[in-house]
Amino acid sequence: DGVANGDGISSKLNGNSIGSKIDTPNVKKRHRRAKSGGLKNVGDGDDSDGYEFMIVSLENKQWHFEAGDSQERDEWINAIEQQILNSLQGNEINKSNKRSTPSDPAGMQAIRTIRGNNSCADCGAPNPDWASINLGTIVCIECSGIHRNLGTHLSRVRSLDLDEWPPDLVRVMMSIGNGIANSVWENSLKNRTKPGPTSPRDEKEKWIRAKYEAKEFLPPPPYLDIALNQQLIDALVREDIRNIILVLGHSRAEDINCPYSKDDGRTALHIAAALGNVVYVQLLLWYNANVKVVDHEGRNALWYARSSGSTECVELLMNNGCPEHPTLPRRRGSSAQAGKNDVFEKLPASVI
Amino acid sequence: MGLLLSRLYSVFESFSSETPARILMLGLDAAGKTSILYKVKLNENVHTIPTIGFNVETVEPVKGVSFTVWDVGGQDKIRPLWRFYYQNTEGLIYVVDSSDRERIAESREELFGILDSDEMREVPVVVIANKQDLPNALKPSEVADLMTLRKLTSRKWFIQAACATTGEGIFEAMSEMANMVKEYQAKSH
Repeated sequence: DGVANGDGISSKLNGNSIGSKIDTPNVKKRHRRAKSGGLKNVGDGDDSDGYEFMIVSLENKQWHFEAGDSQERDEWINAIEQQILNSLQGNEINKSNKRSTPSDPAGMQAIRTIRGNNSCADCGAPNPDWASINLGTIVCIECSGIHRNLGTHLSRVRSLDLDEWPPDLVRVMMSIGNGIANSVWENSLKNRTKPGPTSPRDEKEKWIRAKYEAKEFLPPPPYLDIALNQQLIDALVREDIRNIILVLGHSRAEDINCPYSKDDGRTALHIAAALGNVVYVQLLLWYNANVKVVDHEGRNALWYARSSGSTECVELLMNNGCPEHPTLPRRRGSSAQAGKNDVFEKLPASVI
Repeated sequence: MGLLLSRLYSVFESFSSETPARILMLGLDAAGKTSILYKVKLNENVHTIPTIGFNVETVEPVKGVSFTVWDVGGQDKIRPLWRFYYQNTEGLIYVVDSSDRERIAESREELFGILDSDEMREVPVVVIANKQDLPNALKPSEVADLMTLRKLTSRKWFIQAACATTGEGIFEAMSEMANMVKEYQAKSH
């Protein structure tokens, strides 16, 4: 219980639709909401005076309008909302406490030109403008809503238009794109049919959950007889983004943070930092790479990032809590000389 | 007969109550603001899409208490518009995705930015530590620590663990908001 009775909600529902950007999917949403709210005059007009719409301002001022028919009404709503969206996008207020610099419009445009990015990665709807930054894909607004329900451990959604894009994130998006991502996440479809732009939402949700949560269409890792952490490092060293995504798709935090071998204590994050590749470092961090892990020489990822000369990697690692002075493995006293002769077994147990 | 009387009574009660309290619901994008709003309004899990602009609903989360809840989109470029909604706000509901550890500091910055505003002085805050069902979600006490809520000494605040999809914690958050708003109104009128 505890749900209010619906007095006067028609205005608010309209406020909702006006407030939101309405391209086609939102119009549908409005009607759906209207139905679930049990409204009389907002739907598609059972009676002749049903083609009303309303604008609600920030101060709760309301303007009522009436159109001749539903098509005219929808055209008006579209035009008004386009105008609202344009004003929002033109809003150039900058924040002082923001770490990111304002997005570079050329960079944003470049993301749209990456292979496969002209249609939604999950339903094929044309000209999508939402991104899943950790998957490196572009999706439509409806699929973005489904991605948000998965949780940030599977998908981190941003708007190409309404969010700020720090250069690192643009680089991630430029390195992947729908073409590469789907060659991994939709590799083996096993007779399943991919939903289209007009498929019902439920179907899209099932697809998206099968694809990223159950990983049903993910092919096996490149080698079956080699440990995942070694395959990951191999793909990183070869700078093979497709295999990096594929192996990451199979990896758990334990694999990501596992040292290469008994004699080589470097993990994937150390290697990515040594390559000075901010895209790889960022991907690994999203897959729960531990910034505190040190290798057999007592060096952490920040040390490798510095030696590579990549200020981007250094900054990213520091923002993610990578300590400046790696804690050297200590067991026999805490001698600062621990580095050279320490054997692998003395690595701290924090290598989770 | 008893049922009829109690219904009449509740109708009477809602007539006697004043205009709904103005509640502002903010938080980073994808925190779950719209899902919470419609869970309270319709007791349903609506299929949301990112809010571009705002949603506003009048809800009665507790008998005799009526809120006008403004749910405003949280994407980076529309956050600067939040301040246009501050005026006459009597309670802030601040929603946090407890599983998004990467952005908890960003969420804290935004919250303190809101509370710094003159128009929001002394307005009580309920922080909803949402998405408790997701793996690796921060506990409400951890959210409170990371958000440094204990720095808020001159205003009433409360943190509630919740999961908008099951509805757990949502009613508790709303009824705490109701108490705090009553107190705030008594003090400011």
